[in-house]
Amino acid sequence: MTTDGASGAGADAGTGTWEPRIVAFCCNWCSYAGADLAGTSRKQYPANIRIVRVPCSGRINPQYILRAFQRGADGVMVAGCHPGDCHYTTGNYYTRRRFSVVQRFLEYVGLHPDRFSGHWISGSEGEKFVQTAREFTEKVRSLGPNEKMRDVL
Amino acid sequence: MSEAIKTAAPVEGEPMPAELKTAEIPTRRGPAPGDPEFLGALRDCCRSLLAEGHVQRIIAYRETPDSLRPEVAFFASPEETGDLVWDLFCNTNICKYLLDYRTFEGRIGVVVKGCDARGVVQLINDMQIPRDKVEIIGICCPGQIDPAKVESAAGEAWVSRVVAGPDSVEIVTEEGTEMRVPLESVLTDRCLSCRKPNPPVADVVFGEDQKGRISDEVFEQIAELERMSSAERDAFWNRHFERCIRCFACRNVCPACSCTKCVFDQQEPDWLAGERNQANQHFFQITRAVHVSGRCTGCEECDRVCPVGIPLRLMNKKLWKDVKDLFDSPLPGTKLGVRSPLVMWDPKDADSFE
Repeated sequence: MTTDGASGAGADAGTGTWEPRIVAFCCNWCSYAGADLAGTSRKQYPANIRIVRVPCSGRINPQYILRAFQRGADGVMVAGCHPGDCHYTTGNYYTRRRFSVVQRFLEYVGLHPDRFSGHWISGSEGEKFVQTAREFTEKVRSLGPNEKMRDVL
Repeated sequence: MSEAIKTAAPVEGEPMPAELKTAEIPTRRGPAPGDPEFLGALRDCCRSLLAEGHVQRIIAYRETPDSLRPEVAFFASPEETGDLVWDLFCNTNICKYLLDYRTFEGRIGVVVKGCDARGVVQLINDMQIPRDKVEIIGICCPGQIDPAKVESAAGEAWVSRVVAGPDSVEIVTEEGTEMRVPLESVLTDRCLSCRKPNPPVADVVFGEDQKGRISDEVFEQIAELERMSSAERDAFWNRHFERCIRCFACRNVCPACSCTKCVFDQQEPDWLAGERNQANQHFFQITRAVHVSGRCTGCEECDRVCPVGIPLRLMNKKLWKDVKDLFDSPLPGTKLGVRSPLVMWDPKDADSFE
């Protein structure tokens, strides 16, 4: 359960080369497709974003968010289809309810609200993916490395 | 409805009618706790339920040598009910014991106050036990007493017994001295802000509906936490989470925690390791709170049983407040057949995503 050496909080921060690590959970049909479109359109977005592809944003278990922070993420994003456009019809409606509750709760237990965000990004919104990725990376960069929920006593 | 249906105890030979199952509270009630007839009537009711075969077990309480601490007890025969008690020291929420009887061939009676009864209803709503397997013997609760507060009031002296009145409590020590303290000063913490002391669903009821105690103290504490900065909240919760010893008492007493394969016991995948580092402590506390959200009945038993004093009520009541504000849902456990708002959706739901 220990983080590997490149987790970011230790050596990197000391030498001034720390880069935020962002984990983005993206649904296969919309937001991942949007990210893919950004790539094929040769639009640049920060390499800090590490995408985890899920079939639907409704598949995203709140435990994945916690795990990402435990394992070294400085920020976590969740992205799915716009409500009404879910590939599985209703999956993102559950996402919406679940993450309304979880987002408020994470903030309540002391996670800085700028470290977690959720977005609806469609398969044609390559530009939106780029903008979201850039803005979120900058917000997390200004907050510094995440210390919460790490493998420390 | 026939006369038979209106009696507090079932009539010999008549099966529980279907209409009574859907009627949530019987019209006729037994004597209230505090009434001298109460214990005799409760024991009579339990004895005849067992004798007539309407239930094969009753889960209630029994006295122990410590008059401030009765123990949970399981009654299998009518004769045993001579020892059955219910008083203001029956703090323990017994609804989880029903899950031991999932494959039991027979019905189980439970003697429950308001908070416990909501737990029973939630177990039924979560399809963990069928409604017709449970005989809900409900008590309209005037408020439970915390034995630690009584002992604290008595100071150095050993407490022999306590006589509770409507507004005050008489503490008699072993030396024979007596002192009278206000009831509010020895009530269990959660009872000080209990708005629902009456069982919402019951087959038998003792006492008249209690008003409870209107207090927003826990929500004021939550509001205070919400006003803090992120760093202050982080420090607050770290300080509490780091004490968690993973005894799982909170999970074990909780009616919303009924999974036969709990995520924290899973080895594939290995979500939760044993080491008490920040990562694992947060993982357990946050995950459990989120897993029960939408189904937490607000009984605060988790908070009461935590051996290291983590203020779990400040998490679970916060989640309840948000669920209620977001989805306008009733308090879980107050109505049969209600599903958690988090397994449902509405196209017009509020959206916190961009």
